[in-house]
Parts: sequence; C-alpha cells; structure tokens
Amino acid sequence: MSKTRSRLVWIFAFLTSVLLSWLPLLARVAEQEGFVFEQPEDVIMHWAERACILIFIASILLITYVLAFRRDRLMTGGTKWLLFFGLVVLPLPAAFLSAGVGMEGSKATEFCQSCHEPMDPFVDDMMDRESDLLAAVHYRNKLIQTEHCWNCHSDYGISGTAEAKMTGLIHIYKYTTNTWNAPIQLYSDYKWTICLECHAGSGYFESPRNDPEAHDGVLEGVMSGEYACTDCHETSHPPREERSTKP
Amino acid sequence: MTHVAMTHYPRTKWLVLAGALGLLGQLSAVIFMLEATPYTTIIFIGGGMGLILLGILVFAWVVYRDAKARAESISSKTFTAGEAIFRQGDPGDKIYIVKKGEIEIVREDKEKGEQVLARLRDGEYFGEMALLTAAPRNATARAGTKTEVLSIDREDFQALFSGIPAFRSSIEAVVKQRS
Repeated sequence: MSKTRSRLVWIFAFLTSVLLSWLPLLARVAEQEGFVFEQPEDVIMHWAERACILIFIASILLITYVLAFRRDRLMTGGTKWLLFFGLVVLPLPAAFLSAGVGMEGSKATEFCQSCHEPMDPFVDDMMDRESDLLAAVHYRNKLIQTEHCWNCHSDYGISGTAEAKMTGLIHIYKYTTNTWNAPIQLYSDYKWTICLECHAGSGYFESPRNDPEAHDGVLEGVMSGEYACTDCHETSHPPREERSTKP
Repeated sequence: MTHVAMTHYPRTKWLVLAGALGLLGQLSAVIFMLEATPYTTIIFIGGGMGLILLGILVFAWVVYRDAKARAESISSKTFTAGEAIFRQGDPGDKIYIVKKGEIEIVREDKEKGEQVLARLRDGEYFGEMALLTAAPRNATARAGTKTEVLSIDREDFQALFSGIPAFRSSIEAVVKQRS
C-alpha cells in the first residue's frame, strides 16, 4: 500500500470514528420530539459530557495523526509523547469522568426502569395518578424532584452511595444474565431512617395535621428500628403478588 | 536510496493495537455516559475500562521493549590483526563500530587485486550499507591491529534507526558521503 493511500485510509478511519462518537448524542437529540417538560439539565454534567466527547475526539485525532503522518518516526521523542497523550494522558481522566457522568445518569428513574420486566410494576404504580401507595403519592406531588428510586433506595453519605451502586451493579449483572428471581424483593429490611433525611424536622412530621400527637416518639422508634413508617402508612410499592413474574 | 524500507518501526502493529484498544474503551465510556442502561453499563464496566487499561499496558510494553532493546543491542568482540570481521559477498546482518584499534575496508577485485578503500579508527562505524540496501557486503572488513569492535544486529539497528533521530541523521550523512 502506498504511503498516500495508507494516509487516506487512516484519515477515513479518523472521520468515521469521529462520526461514530457523535452518533449516540445525535440519536438522543432525535428522540426528543415535541414539548416535554423536564428538569433543567445539571450544568456540571452538561459540560462534563462535552468535555469527555472532546477529549475522546482529541485522542482519535492524536492517535490517527501519529499513525498516518508520523509512522516513519514512531516512538521518537516528540511522537512518543503524542502517543503517550493519546493513549494514556487523555483516555484515563476521560474514562473516569465518563464513568462519573454515567454513574450520575444511572440514578435516573428511567435507568431503573430500563430493567423492564422486574421494574415496570414498581414504576408504573408510582406514576399511576390513582394509586395511594407511598411511592405514588411522593411522585404525584413532586415531593421528590428527580431520581425518585435513587432517593429512597440509597442510604446516607458516601458509604450509602457506594453500597447502592454496588447493589445496582449486582442487579445489572442479574438482569443482563437473566439470573434474577421473580418477584423481586429487597435483600434485607428497608432502612426507614432514609425517610427521615427529608421528613425529620419538618412541620408535618413533628405535628401531623389530623393528629398533632400522632408522631410522638416515632422519631426515636424509627431511629432504633422499632417502628417502620408503613406500620401506620400505606406500603410503598405493590404487594408481592402484583409484581412481575419472570417471562 | 532504500531508506523507506528501513524506517518501518518494528512494533507498529502493537501501537496500532494499543490505539484501537484505547479508542474502543473510550467509545464504550462515551456511550455509557450518554445513554446509561444496564447493557451499556456492563459493556463499559465489564469491557471498556479493561480495554483502556489494556491499551495503556500494550503501550507501556512497547516502551519497555524499546528501552530493553536499546540496552541489549550492542555487543563487543575483539579481533586480532588480519582477522576478518566480514568478507565481501557475505550477507549483511550487523553494523560495526570501532571501539579501539583500526579496521581496514578492502575491496577484492579479480583484475585489480586487493584495494584498501578506507582505514577506520576509534568511533567510526562500518557495515551499514548492507543493512540499508539489503545487498551482500560490497567489501571485506578486517582488523589492521588488535581491534575491539562493537556490533548491532539488523533488528536493533532498525529500532535505533527509526527510534533515535540523531542516530538516523548521522547514519544518513555517512551513507550519503560514502555512496
């Protein structure tokens, strides 16, 4: 293959790669038809996404440039540094940044629902305007703004986040390998202290409208694990018999 | 000149592999970032991150092999006066550098007899033409006195030639002068 032809092949490979790298973004834009009200996009996530894509394109550019135009000087002083940037310096932070953005994106309710068979009954009930179950009441009244599943199923702090992510990875593994058991249920009893993150200290919690003394001693009881919120309130999700069976 | 054939870096395919692995890994990261689903998560966590690390490992291996080849590429041998380092017509597989002593470059001609083309002393090198042209040796090299000679074989010479610009320009200048 002549040198010019070889370069043309590399340039074609570069342009194809750049085009491919933008396809997922273009596909997502194409999906947004009509007016849909959505929460404003997180500015940091927005720019982190763009930064990752630009770094990715810079990597493609560097590697393709070196292999196409500096092939006769590979691993010489300057070229070696270009390759070092294209293969190490740029991809590593971009991978971590992408992982961070993706992990943040995986907190979305849509992400949880993308495991359709096991999760549909939960999300469908939550979005049902007629449902009186706790998750549906919270969703309908926008008591939780975004990331509805995540907010109630991740514990406090970094360890709570890490634990929820690890559990999520196990869920993903079980779903993609079709080794999950129907109907799904929590691994252990729900931690009702998670509810206190929003409710503790609020006026309605301290002094409920219909019965101002109804919550006396409840905070201590929930903290100690003696009480569960559903001892008095509706359950959060449909009962076991209404959840999916495995297809 | 036949320099183009000599400038091919011997570990190019490994660098192409490293680049392909790194870019594939990054592509999976970007797709996961833009569209987080169970499958893109599995592809990125289970494969993409590994591909990026593998690409970096392949690149590190190439850098390590280069450094090792440079360190091991030179061997030393001492010749007694009159002893031939190589003979005219031999296949060319090494380049030589005079470390200490004197080397005579002799052309053997049936009609004219022996003809001394050059006497090389400390720091000068010879035998590069056969490596660059892939032709047999065009002259005999023999020690004029007890001489210590350093040698670099073909593969290492290629790595040095394509990897060290100063070495390459030096060789090219001498080849131009000698041809």
